[in-house]
Amino acid sequence: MDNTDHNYTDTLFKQGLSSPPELNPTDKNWEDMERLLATKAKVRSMAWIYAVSGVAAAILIFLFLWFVPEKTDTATQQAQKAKHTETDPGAGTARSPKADITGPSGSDPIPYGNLSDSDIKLRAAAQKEIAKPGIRSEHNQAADAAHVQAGLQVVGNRSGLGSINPVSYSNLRTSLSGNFASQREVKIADLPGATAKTAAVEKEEPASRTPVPLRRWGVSLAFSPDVNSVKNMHNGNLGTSMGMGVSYRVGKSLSVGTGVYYSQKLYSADKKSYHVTEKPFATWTSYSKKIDADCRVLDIPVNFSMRISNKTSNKLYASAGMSSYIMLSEKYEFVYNVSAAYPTGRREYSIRNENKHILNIVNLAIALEKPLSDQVSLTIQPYAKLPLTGIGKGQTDLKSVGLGFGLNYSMKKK
Amino acid sequence: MNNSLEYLPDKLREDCIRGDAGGQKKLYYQFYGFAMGICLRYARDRDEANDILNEGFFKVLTNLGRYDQQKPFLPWLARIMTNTAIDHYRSQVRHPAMDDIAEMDIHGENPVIDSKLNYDDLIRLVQALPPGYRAVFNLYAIDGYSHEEIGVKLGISAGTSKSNLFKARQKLVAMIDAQKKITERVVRPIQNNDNGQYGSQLYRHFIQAGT
Repeated sequence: MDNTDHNYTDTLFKQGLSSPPELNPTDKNWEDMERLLATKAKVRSMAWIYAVSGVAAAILIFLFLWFVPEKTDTATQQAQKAKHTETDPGAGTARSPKADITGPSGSDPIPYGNLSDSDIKLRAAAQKEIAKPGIRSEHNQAADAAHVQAGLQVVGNRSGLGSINPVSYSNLRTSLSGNFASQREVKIADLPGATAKTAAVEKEEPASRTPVPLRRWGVSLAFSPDVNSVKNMHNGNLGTSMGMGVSYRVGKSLSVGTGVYYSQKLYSADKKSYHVTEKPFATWTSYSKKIDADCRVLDIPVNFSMRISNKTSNKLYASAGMSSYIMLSEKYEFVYNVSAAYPTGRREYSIRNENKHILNIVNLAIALEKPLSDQVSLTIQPYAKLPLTGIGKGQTDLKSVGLGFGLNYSMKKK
Repeated sequence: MNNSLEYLPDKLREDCIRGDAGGQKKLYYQFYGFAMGICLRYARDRDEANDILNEGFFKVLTNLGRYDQQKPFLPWLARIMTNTAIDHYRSQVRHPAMDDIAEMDIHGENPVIDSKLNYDDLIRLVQALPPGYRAVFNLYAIDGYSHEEIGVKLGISAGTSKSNLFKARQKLVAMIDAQKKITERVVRPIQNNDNGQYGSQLYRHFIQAGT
């Protein structure tokens, strides 16, 4: 860092500028410095949150799409599974129902997938009798066994396999006179084809066999980082929004929702973006180089959501609606060229609870919902908010785009 | 540890690293004058200098942990302020109009300059330079960087740096000459008691104040 050129002009300026006069800061200088420290520290901490949120979102989506298995407890899926087992008996871990009933030595596999309704009824009736609680007499046991044998013979004849092997039957009888009741629940429940068919005749079947009731009301908690801008997203500043909402399902795939969300909207714009004639705001705007805004807003949306994909593991919704902005506070900082009138080059303008924009903002969103249980689900929702009118004191075209993270709870239908 | 301004007192450093507002304010007030002396040279006015200074102090206050206490504090502070000023210049001027030395017609140097110019006169002249010329002149003539180093800092060639330095000097000399002529035109009638258009008391005060 040493040049060897010794120019007269350089020397004059170097010497003349080496001893500046006493330059002392004012309190305003230090206040600006404090504000800068606070703002940047805040931005740094927020940047950390956004980074973590982004990573978390990416991980969640990844896990949703790849690792979480689909639910298997609905009747439709059971039936589909049965069909699959039928066409490919050796596949997977599907057990032979006959082997289950006849015990380890069973040697007469009957394809249950081919059972007719009457066959199933016979089987169910026999097992129902056997499963009756209390002390059972020999007569009852014999009658039960005969009942079952008759039923199974019918099954065998109808399925073209002849009568049941006596050995198998004796094993069956032994098994039935033991702890058959407990086995019945497991084995019958596991029967792929029989499950759906016996549901109609067995009143004591588990509740999962009945259709899942339509849950109409739901509540949600949401947090979303978003970018606010009045011109384009290149100059957007980061803000946050959080709150809670409630939704009501009006059809199989359509729901309507509303809520209350507290948003911090930070943005910078030049004076051309402000459209206000009221003094002194208009006067201050006309002299400014740019204006930094910090607005706190209550966002009250009314949105309609349509389910556009109905996968069991993830549901996709398209959502549209209108929002109302209640401007809780608005702070504008005008940045000037320094002059005798404005030695610091800055001036602040603050108002509270002065502006409301009722249903003047268009909401557009796509939501991906992942059920965690029957009632709880997570939502990731990219969204955009586009104003139809000027927002705030400055009447700016304040747009927001963001990524919402939601936790939803569906209320049980009584 | 030396406790002069050259070195940063241990306690002050620790307070600032801890984020203590009192310590930060003390450091800011203590070194404001020194830092502002640098920032004023790189800025076009006091307002811009303040912006650069605060940005520089933000870096100082948030990076004090990296400062080697065994070394003098002022050079470290000066380097941060200079670099911040250069960053500010680069963010303000994306495509400065800069010529290469090969295109220049270099004339003789060492014009006669009135050496009675004070600090305020000189800083005003430097601030009046176009940003690109001002940055090169400051880095080369005042802070002692070579053209190669300036080229790296500003993202220009060494030849462009030389060209800008030459033009900066020319402009400074021209401005001083112009100022001298104005001063002579204004002061001579006053000295000759020719009040004419400059005879008001207010204007005499203005001239006497050296403004």
